[in-house]
Amino acid sequence: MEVISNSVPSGADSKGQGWAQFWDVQGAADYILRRRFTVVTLQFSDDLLRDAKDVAKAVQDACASKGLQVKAFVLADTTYHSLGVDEVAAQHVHAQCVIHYGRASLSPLSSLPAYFVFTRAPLDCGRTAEQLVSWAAEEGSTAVAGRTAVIVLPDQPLMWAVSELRACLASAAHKADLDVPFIVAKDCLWLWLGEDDAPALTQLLMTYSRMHWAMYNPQEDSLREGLPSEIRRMLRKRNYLIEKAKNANIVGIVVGTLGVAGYLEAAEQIRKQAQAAGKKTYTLLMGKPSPVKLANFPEVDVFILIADAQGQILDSKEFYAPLITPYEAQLAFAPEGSVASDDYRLDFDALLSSADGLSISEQEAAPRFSLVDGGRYVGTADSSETGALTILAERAPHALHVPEGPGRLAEVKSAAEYLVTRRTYTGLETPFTGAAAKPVVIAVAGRSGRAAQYEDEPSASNVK
Amino acid sequence: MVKFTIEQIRALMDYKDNIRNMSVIAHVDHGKSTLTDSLVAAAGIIAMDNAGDARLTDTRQDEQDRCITIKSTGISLYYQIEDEKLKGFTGAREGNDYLINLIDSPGHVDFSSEVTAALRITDGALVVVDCVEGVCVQTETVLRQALIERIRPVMTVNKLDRCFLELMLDGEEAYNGFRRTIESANVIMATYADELLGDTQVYPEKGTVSFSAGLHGWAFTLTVFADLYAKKFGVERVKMMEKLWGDNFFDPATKKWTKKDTGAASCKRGFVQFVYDPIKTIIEACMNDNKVKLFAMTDKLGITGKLKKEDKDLMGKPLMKKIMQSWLPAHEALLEMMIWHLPSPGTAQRYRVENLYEGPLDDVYANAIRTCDSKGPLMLYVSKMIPASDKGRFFAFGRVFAGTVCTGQKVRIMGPNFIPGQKKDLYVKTVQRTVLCMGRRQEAVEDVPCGNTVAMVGLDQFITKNATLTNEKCEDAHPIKAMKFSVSPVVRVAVEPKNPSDLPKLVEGLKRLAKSDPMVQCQIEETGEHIIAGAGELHLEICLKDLQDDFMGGAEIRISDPVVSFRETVSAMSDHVCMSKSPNKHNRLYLQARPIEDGLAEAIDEGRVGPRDDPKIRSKILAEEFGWDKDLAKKIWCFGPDTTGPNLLTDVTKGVQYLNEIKDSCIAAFQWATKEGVMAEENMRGVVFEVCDVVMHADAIHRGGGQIIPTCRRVLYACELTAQPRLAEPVYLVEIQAPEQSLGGIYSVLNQKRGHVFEEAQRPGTPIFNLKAYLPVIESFGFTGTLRAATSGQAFPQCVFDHWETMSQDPLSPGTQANTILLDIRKRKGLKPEPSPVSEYEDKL
Repeated sequence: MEVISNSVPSGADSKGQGWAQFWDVQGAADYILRRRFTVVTLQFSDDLLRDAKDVAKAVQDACASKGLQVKAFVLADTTYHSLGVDEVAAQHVHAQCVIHYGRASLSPLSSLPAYFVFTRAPLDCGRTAEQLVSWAAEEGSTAVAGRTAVIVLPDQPLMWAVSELRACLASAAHKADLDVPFIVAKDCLWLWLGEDDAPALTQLLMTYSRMHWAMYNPQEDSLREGLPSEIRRMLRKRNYLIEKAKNANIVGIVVGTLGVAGYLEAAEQIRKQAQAAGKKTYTLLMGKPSPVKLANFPEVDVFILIADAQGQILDSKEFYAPLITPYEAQLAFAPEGSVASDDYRLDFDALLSSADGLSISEQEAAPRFSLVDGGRYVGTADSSETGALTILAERAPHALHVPEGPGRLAEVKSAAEYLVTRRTYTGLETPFTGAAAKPVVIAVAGRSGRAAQYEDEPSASNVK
Repeated sequence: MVKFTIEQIRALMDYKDNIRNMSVIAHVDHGKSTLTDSLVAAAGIIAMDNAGDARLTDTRQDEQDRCITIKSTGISLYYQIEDEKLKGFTGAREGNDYLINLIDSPGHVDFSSEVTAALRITDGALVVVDCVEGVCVQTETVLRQALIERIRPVMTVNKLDRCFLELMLDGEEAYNGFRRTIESANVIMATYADELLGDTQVYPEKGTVSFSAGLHGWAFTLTVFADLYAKKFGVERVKMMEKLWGDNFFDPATKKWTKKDTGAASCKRGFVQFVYDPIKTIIEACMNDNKVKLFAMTDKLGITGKLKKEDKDLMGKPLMKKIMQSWLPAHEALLEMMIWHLPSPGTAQRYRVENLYEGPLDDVYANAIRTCDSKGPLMLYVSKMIPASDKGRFFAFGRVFAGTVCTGQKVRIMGPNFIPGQKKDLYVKTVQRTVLCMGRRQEAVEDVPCGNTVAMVGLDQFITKNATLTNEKCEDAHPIKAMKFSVSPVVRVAVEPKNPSDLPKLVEGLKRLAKSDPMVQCQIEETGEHIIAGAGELHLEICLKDLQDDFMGGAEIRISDPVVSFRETVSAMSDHVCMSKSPNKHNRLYLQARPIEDGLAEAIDEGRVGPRDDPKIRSKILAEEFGWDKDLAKKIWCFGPDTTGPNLLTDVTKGVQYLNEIKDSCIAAFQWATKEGVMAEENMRGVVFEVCDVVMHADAIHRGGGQIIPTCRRVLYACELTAQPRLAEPVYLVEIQAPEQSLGGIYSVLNQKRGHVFEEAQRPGTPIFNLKAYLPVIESFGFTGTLRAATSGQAFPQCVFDHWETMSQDPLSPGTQANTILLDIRKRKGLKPEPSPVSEYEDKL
């Protein structure tokens, strides 16, 4: 990200052609003018925020020069994540559209129109083309050999240079006598052009992990081949999480977006599938899920995050319960073998398309072999067990002697059951909960000051 | 050739007094399978000529090739005993026909779990001991297992032919060898004596010890010789037996018995005079081809008639085998010993019921087990799964403890995770077929009553490794207790399919593998690797071979190097009380860590101290044995990981309000942190965390799980890092037997592998030394091979997991071996290379 901000000629003085191009002021203005919007929101990711004021001004000026007075609101610190359009915030000011700056996940939106400005990262097309072609002709020849084409996937900040790059590549390839064209086709080498840590790259790599990959970073002039081992490892890790989700009894569906088209249907779909698999679901709406927020639900065994593809939390190590994607949830909850697990997906389109295909199989419920915790059979839930809640009600009065063998914990099937069987704390010790009445005591002065340092605590000078 | 029909066997199954269920147990290579063969030969399943060579119970090709038993195999024998032999037998019986359900078990320590599974479903054990090698480590292990399961042992001193042919021992030497062997076995039995089981020690003069030569198919107990001489001397058989063992000397010249050796040349110990010497004479006659003398003797013994004409033309060893088999047939001696001295199911279940049944001992199920009631409710324990001939299917093999199981019956299957009153791990299914195991063959039968072993078809989908079966309607039945294994799966490898699209095949294969072996663990790790864990290298090797060849349909797999799991522990008290603040800064937790008292972690492992104990009893043990403060012992919040592990969270705070409210959150964090330690995300072991103080926000909303769980986890990590964290590695106990000249080689190999010898003893009367050593598991890969190379194949080690040893080096200071191990683990798990410093986890005021 630093690279981009470095390349931004910052400060009002140096505003010029380059600056306007970087922010695509004209494009945004044209977009607004064409649709005669009067209230617009400009959404910036955190790293671009410092230019927000100038950009807003420039866009307004550009519109004003064409005779349209536009109210512009700047959106920052988005509720979900900066790659997605924050429709809810825009609706608060009754905006008619969102101009989104910076990298975007480009997920389809449900209600508002949006214009995306990717900003521009510098790219020396001629040099890049030469580099790539010479690599393809020399050390990369083994990777290229046998492929019908090399697909170049430029990162969003490089999109501006696509046509120029295409021309440069063609001429360079011609010069080098390379007969592999750089185009789109099946059975190709996929070549990423852009930064190595772009979220879009992670998404692409995970989704198309079976493809042949190469990555070129024009800023650092570095070229890597093959699927990075982190991605491979990450994909393997997902297998474990899917296994774990299969064993889960209580599932939390975390809705982490309110913008992406179809999120409601997806949540509904997951809920149905989870129920069919005999799991209890709870739906939570949560902006920017964090370990702290989710740990408030210790009864949940696994969370499913419904968010757009690049907003998924793929490393849930710090979370008390793991987070999985809707696609993984589908794999875990559907009867074995009913979902083709060929290509990994991060979005939930597949979930929506399978909506009608859901049928609860009537076959005899054979126990499932679980590879988590030492390999044992896990019974499929008894769907005929209609009165889970009545059972709970029956058991609650006898909570003191819930049978527990050595080393076993009674399995809980719902949050209510969790409260009854697992939680030891059932409320303050008042006579109402069965405790003896406490003697009345006179109130004493408590601590005062701020939580960071109360007044009775040693002063800051004692602490490093 | 088969002398009996299935109908005959089935009929016998109803006479519970005439059934003996027994397993054959021993150290590796002491001749179990070979001896079993001679018993089977008597039942007519294999030809007598092949007895000792066929190893009928080694049903797998690799067992035959390697000459070791890998899986325990059941076989049912039918034996008709003569009336005369039962003279003086006081136990209940019906007729002279006996059914002996015999299970041959492996001797290699890696397959101990098979022995455990075999012992569970039998009532008696034939302990086979090599007369030269004596009682070895595995003999002791299996014997201990048997006694804990309340299995009555009888013993046979095997490979007697070695005394005569190989070592040429004279009578007195041989006698002393035998006596020592029996004594050392008796020491073990006395150590694990059980009140209800009574005296389990074995005595040759009581007929509970036999002497055998499995390879040549002959064996005897003193009963056989006592019968022979009782008439001659005109004394009772029982009296005669006493004379034939111990310090009883006979001088044929004076015809007098004395308690001491009189010193006269003709005065010899009874055993030597009447047992050892006659055998020796015959064997020598055979080997020297002295047929005149030989046949004179056989005439005298009345066995000439049993020999065929062509037998008489044999020479040397074959002749000896023939003669000895005719004179002292192994099956007669051994089967009679079993019938006489091992309990019938009816007898055994009376005292075994409390070891077996988990539920109340006065309910209808316990009573049915106690009385071995074939009309009572079904109680059947499946102890292992046996691969069937059609790939991927399994027989459920077990023992009917009460009631009768029949083909087509609907049974309730209670799996290992079943909890009475709940529906978890509980299935109702139909038994498609009930069959009897006859070594390599199976024979279908209509039903099997209690007291017998049985294999069932059609339940394999619902049983992983073991289960308890009852009648469909018996909803209040409790399961039969799970088996305890003496070995743990410490050696692990990761497997992955060569072709990623074969992953479903691998998962299916792992599922079958998990079934086929009582011990192996197949699981997926957090990293997504599929792990197979076994008791040792050999065990894993066999498992992997099975997986690849039999269970995966030929799909190729890639196998990682063996991986050893470590434990994270601490070696000192935290150097200060660590504090972490919750993300909202409103709550502070003050904790410190200290190492657990010596022996307490082991006590927790064994279940002597655990979360479900009565707190009073627990605090008594902790106070008396481990020096805990009585009050503190009552303030243990929990054990971890998995709520039962050897780490503790205790509350030492004074007067903190609302502490109970965050207890659940702290426990959750503790379980999490002890499962994934801070250094390498390995389990913690032997760490006590003390909650010293807690500052909380007054509003409950600000001290919810979200604030406390991550904070508590952080502070636990800080505590671990400040308490001189160490890695603990698993260590094997290695027992090596080798002749003196190879000791040098053994020592140098052990040194090279960080092992150390702590016991070295010469076996009296032999040049063989017994070494006991500790060897880190991580160094043990290829140890057997190296050792054999260094000793020209004369040393044979047996490794069994013994304990966790804390490594003294600081794993966090670069350059140490512990650090290298730590970094390796982190790399394998895909963590960032270096563990985070304590400042990540601890906050300042």
